Amino acid sequence: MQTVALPRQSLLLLVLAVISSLVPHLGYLPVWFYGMALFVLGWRALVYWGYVSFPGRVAKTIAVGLACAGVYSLSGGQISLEASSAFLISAGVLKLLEMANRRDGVVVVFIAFFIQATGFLFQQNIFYSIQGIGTLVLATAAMISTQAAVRTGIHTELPVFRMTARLLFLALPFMLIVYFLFPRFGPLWSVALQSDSAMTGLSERMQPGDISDLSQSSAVAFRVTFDGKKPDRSELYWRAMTLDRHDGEGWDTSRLDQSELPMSLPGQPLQYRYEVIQEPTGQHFLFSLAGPYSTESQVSLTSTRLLRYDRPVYQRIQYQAESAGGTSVGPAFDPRMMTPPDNYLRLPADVNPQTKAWARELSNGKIPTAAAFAQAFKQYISREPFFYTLRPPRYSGDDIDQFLFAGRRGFCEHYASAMTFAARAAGIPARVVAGYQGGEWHPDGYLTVRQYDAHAWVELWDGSVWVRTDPTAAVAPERIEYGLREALAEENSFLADNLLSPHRYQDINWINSLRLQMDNINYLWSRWVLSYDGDRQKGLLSRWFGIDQLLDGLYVLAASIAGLFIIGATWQWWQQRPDKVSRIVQRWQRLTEVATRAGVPFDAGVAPLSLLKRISERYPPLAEDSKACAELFVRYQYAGEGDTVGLEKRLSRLIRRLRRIRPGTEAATSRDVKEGAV
Amino acid sequence: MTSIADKRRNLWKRWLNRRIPPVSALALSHRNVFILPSRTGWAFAALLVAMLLTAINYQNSLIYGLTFWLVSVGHGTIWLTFRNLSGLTLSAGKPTACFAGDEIRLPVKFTSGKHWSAAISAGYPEETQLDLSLAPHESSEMILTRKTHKRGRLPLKRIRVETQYPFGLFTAWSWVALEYDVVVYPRPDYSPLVLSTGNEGDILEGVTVTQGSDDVAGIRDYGRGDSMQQISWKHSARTGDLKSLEREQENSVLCWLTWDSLQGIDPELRLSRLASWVDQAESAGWKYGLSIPGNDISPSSGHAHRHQCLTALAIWGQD
Repeated sequence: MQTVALPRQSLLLLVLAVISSLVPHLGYLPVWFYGMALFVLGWRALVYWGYVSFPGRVAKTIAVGLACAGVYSLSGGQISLEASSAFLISAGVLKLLEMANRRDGVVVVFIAFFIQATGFLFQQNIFYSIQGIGTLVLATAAMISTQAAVRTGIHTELPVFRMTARLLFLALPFMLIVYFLFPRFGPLWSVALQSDSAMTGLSERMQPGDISDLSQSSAVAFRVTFDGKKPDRSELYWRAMTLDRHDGEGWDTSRLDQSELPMSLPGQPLQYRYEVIQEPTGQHFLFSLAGPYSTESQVSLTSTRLLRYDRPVYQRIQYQAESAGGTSVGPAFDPRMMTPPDNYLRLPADVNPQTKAWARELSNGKIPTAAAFAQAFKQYISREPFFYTLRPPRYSGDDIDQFLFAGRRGFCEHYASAMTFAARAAGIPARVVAGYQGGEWHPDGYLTVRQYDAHAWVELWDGSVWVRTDPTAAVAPERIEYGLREALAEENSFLADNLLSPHRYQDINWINSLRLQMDNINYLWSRWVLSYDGDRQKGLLSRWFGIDQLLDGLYVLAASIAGLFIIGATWQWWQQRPDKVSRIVQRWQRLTEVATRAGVPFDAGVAPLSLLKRISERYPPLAEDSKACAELFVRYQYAGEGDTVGLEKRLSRLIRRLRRIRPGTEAATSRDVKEGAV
Repeated sequence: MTSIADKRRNLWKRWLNRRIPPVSALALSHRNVFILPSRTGWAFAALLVAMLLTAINYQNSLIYGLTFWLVSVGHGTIWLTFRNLSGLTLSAGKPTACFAGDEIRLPVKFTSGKHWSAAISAGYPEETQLDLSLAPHESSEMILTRKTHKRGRLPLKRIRVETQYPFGLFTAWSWVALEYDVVVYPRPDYSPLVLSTGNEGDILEGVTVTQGSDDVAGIRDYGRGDSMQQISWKHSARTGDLKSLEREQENSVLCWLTWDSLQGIDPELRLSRLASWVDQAESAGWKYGLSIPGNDISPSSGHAHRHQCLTALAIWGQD
């Protein structure tokens, strides 16, 4: 391959394409990276304007070394998704500095495509999708303009953007067909590179302060669409995990949450049908209301009656579920999976002695019923001056003692933790449940649950079922009835760290309605595009084409591709069909052939007019047609009045008639005569 | 080994000659355009596989979308690349003959069809290569040069017309055999014309017959083949048409350049020497005739005559 210098237009397009592909990555790239990018672009611009030359070997080696060191410092030596993409991005940006010829340009375009693809691992909402199309356009245009570069000879300015538009537009139908029909199967191998920082959400261990941290984020956790009946707001307890192991500081998730059992009905009638679109969590848990049931193939049930996905949720997923609702959760349906109740009574010795003593006193030393205990605990909370706050003091040592009897200020995790502890001390099996409570009803009818809706509450064992009880409701009923924003209205600490978040400004009407609009667009985008997976595909195929088999789907794919080919071939034929002038030439050719067969005497290369004359001499009935043809031809040829359609028609007519005449038959048959007379 | 390679090459040549026969003008279409993925195309395929694996492993709809869009773009460029070449017409121009060993300049007229013919490179492999882009229905005449090695009719060599536009993923190409009606003169081997007087008419090696006479017999219209010295510039300027002087005896010198005068040397060298003599006699303004086995050309002078003589030398023994 000969080297071809890159034209200036493609240099600009290449730089723009790479910059555009970086957009979804900007969130996590470290500061030094921006410095490097600016330095590289500055140097390249100076090369472009002719002030400096390309970097030498030493400079390049130093740059690559620095970039590697930077990436290493970002990852801390571990392979993470961020580090890998940062490495790729650094390679792309450094390549910009070096690029001089066509091959470099092609490499840069390929890198830009891949950077954009990995960007979709971090950002997927509709704006980034549109931005991705922007990258596609720029990179495609860059590619075309590198290909338009020539070494020598004539070079007319090519319509690069017109070609780009044509190419991308032309590719659209085929892309959609493949997108919908390409079989969606699970990951081929488990992906070791995972992004953790990209995912905010509940973690497997809950310590005081975790959920209050989470409540600083207005990121979407999941969205729910109910089919039919919608529960009251105070019923919207989205269970994600149960925490039953306490070590004196925090709570850990139950090992039972990891059990995967076949789906079974909850025992009570199913009241609610809903569809959840869940953002990545990096964990197995799914969100459901009490008493869940789901027929999705990848969803199973845990013995704590939670829904569990068959692999960590690293990408947005969509699933259908039904729930009985209510406050009680059935026991483990499989007796073998029943936990001995003392598991839920276990407390570390020597911590929070005051709470332990207080709990035993609460029921005069007897083991109370769950309901009685819950009532007594809540009464204590509402009687004493407890506060619901995002800014509790730091409790250390016997933190629950300090919270319950001294500080009395806490967020939901403090209340849930204290109540569970006290219940166990009183002899009632208890566990903390973490999940989300509430959500925002969109005017279009779906529910958006955000990170700041994260919540923790308690489930108590009443002898036959687990019963939900929420101590937060006793101190801040508005948290349950209206949401966190209202609950913190006095303190004014809602999203205090995010001054620019539109969620802070829900009082300003236009900001709020704009925000709801955006939310709606993103919801529809997630629902119809992003969460398109194997199950969705199956449903679509069986609804539209009545296909239930993967193989049949492949047939449809093959048929669609064949269909596109046929359309393309027809288009090609239409484009290449002879134009009018050459159609007349074809007719003439045919006429000479037919005339030869009919025995009209003429030499090869005879002029058209004399051929027509010969025909009318030999077959007088055709004289009229011949004359008409001759007239039209003369006008077409010499006067420039092109009645090409008429001429073509006349010629065809003459040919038809001439063809009926067999050589040897003198003059014409009676039929020809008759027709000629008409 | 070589014989197998040669055989294969011959087979390929024969097939190509049937598929794209030599012509004086050829419009490229699906009949004569080949298309295959380029190296960039294979690299692009590898990129798409990597992207598809990412999409599958991360179950990411947007990466699926981007990947399939690019797949579709790659697929579409097959057609666009082909179309970029198809519709382009190459026609052979009129080249001027040259001596063996020189570069012959072969004019080719490129005319695009209904579409752009962009970033096309054309040329004889391992010789000239030129690039051009033509807007729809635009044409441009370019000169392709070829090294000549042997006298005679210019051997057929195929022009490779190639394009990767718009995306570089596919190379569409054709091998166009343009027929040029042109001969390559023998390489002149310079040796001075030895003049010796002989009997009139059939004197070897160029002989002075008559001393020059400048008597002008009259003025006539310029005829093709008249030499520059014959033109009467004065009369031409006055009338606006080229006029030639008609001399009593047009050429002062008449000679025969004959094969037999160069005894005992290799025929190719003879031809070369005769070619050099033709040029010398022509530039001296003499009348000269050529006599080689199988071909006698009676004495005359002028460009047409020179061409006739050199052509006779070029194709001697080849018909």
